[in-house]
Amino acid sequence: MKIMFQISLFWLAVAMVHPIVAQTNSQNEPQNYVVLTKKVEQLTPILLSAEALKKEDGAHFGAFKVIICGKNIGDVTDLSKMEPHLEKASKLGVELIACGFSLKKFKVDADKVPEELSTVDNGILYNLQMQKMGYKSLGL
Amino acid sequence: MKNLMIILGAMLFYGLAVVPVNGQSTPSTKINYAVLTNKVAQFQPISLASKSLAQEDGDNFGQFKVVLYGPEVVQLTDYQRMKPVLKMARSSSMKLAVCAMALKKMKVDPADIPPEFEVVDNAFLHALELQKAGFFILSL
Repeated sequence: MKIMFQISLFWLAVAMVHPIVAQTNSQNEPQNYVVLTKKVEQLTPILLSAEALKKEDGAHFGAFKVIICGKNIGDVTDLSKMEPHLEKASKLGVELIACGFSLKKFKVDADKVPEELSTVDNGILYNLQMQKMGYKSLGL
Repeated sequence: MKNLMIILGAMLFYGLAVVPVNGQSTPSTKINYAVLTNKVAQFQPISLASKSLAQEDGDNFGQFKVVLYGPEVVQLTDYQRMKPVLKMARSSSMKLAVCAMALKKMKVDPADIPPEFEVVDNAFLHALELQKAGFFILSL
């Protein structure tokens, strides 16, 4: 009986330090996501993904950031294209981010970018920095 | 008491012997990055990101690899077009690579491209392998 108790104690201790247990614990940490897209139209499926993940992760849902880059960056200033996304993103707590490098390269007036969007200097750099912080990333 | 010592000894053995074996999946403590792109124009923001990350990571900075694929590989034989790209790579820590499948498809002789470009068999496979090796990956 005493031996059985000691064996159980040993395996309990092993389980506590085993990486599989550590992995399970990491699943309890906030889940953060970053998506880099070059098309405003892709905001529809991206925001649907954010909605589904928010439901799936429950209390562990952290941040969801969407970086918009590339030659079609000017579309972010088109309110008819952006308005439905802005509302949905705000409801879900999704952060929409415009790439400052693209705005400059494609001569888009930064003042015309809706105030709901934040701007970062370089979307590529920002994505890699977020990955380094543990964000799950998708480049489209 | 004796049995307790045996259990503690076994736990210590497990900690020393098993955990380092799992640790072997991450052989390097350096932070490595790879960006997959099909546009030569994207080399500029990518090299800026590489410079910033090298600065940010300091001694922990490992590699920053850029893999070019797609029809724009034909531009690699255009010396004037490539000159600024090679200059950017030299001034940053960016390592250049190109997809052999794309070169073949676009009928580009690997002997005609700048020697700074490493030729990898398949850009997608290469990116996935780098990700497996612990690189942060961004596909543009």
